[in-house]
Amino acid sequence: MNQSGSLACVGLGMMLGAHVSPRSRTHIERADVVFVLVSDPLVELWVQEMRPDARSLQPYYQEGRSRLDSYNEMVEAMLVEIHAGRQVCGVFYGHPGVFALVPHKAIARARAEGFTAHMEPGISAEDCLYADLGIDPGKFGCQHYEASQLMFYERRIDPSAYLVLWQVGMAGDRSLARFSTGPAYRQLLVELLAQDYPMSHPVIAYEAATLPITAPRMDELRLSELATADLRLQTTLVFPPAAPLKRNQRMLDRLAVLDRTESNRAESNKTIVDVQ
Amino acid sequence: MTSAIGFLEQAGRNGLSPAQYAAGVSLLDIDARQRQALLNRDAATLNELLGGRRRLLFAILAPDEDVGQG
Repeated sequence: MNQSGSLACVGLGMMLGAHVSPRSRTHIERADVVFVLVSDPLVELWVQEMRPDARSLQPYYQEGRSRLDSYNEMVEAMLVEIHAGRQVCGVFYGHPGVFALVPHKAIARARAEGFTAHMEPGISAEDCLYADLGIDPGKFGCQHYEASQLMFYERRIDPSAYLVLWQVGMAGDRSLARFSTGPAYRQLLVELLAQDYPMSHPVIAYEAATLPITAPRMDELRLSELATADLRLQTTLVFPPAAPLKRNQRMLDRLAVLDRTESNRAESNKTIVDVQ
Repeated sequence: MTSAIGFLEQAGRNGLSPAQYAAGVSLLDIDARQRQALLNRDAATLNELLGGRRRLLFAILAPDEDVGQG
């Protein structure tokens, strides 16, 4: 096996031409082999203008077949070229490490086999969301869940923080073989969320702009409308907080005691130094 | 510039004003239908004219690697 092969998984950002970093572009231009998986057909054409020999990962997807199989084949396709001693670049939309199994798996596999592999970050849909919606995740805190995962597992939602749900267009799909689910599946998601939010709670259906000629989608809905709303593969749901932040008085009291103790200790040390 | 995609890249990079955008489109040496699609900011038509894919799938995260059942 030729250990001179390497892998760089790079992010294009969300918008054609606007977000790609100089380092990511250099990897795309210099790699021996380029694989590409993006969220807009014109963005794919853009990558093909940079690299006419770029190989799309689209053919690995197939409706009715588990996405896990597709993901494994995508990883394998990149590994084959790395094994052959080639400098491989995996080009992904947004950030290649955010809600993205394939780049993480490919890098882990390559490293485990002794090859050099790394990730170049990109501007993710999450980053665009903060800018477009004027949200600071640090203000109240922010929870992110893949929508189906939220349904499959018992999680604790904190309604005093923002809640962001990803891949809502296929919420509840256990087969991993579909790219959309219908209102009945989403109704179950609504019922789950209704345990923490009133049905009238506002929800923003968000889609980042992928072209400089389009605008982001920022539709305000109500929780009660989600089951029948137009939710696509690229739609993200953003729930503003439904409850005020509640002070943790017990912890604040303990901190106050600690502050006094620390202050007294500092005062004692100062006195000893003065006496000496 | 001879490419609608190249122009989109420039527009993305520079954040053109509406006037700059229209002026830029008018200078392109491209098919009249592509020019009109750019002026209309009609991504679907432009994609069709350029031969892009009609449908893209792009989810690259599985919610649960252990579920995967029908």
